[in-house]
Amino acid sequence: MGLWTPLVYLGLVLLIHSLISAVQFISTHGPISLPADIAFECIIGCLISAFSYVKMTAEGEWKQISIAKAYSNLTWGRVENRPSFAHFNHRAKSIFSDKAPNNNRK
Amino acid sequence: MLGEQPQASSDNVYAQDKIAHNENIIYKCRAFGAVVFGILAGVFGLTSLWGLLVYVISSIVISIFLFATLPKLSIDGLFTSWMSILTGGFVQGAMTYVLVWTLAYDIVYIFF
Repeated sequence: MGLWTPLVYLGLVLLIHSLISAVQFISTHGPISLPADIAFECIIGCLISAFSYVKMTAEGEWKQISIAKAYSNLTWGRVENRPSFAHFNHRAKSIFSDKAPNNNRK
Repeated sequence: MLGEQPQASSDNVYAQDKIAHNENIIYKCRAFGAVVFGILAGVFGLTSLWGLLVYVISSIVISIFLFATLPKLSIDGLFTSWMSILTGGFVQGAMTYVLVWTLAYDIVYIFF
């Protein structure tokens, strides 16, 4: 799971909690400025969740866009591989296996 | 021009699927940033240009976070220009931001 996924959830929990706290505060006191603790919790939750999500999504996921570097380790087998060319009952296994009942080699 | 031979150079030949992969990462991060900053703007009760300012700030913050994840803090080989990181997904993120901002503001200041 890594470190960043729990931090994303933690940030979202802080954000939602600040939202609910703001609803309760505004419903009792009217549309006035929010107290510092709710504002601080909202900002911290926002920054934690945003930073953790970027780290979780982008860290180590960037790919080289130059064709020479992007496909430098592409083998011929990977290039010509396609679903219609896959063999699931290749007879070489039974022909050249010593344990096969229909082995023709004596 | 007719008759001209195309210049053979591997320096400017890019893999489109890799470019799309990198831009998709930027788009997802900017969309998530739009959601969380939209909630923040709604909780704080921001309206009109203040909300737009918060979205611009969120876009800059997400760009800084994305820059911090780059290997060797450089775009060499990953993007064709800096504009991809700075403005990638800006309009789509703005739509998400306005949606969440409006919803959060209504929840806090109007519905209850």
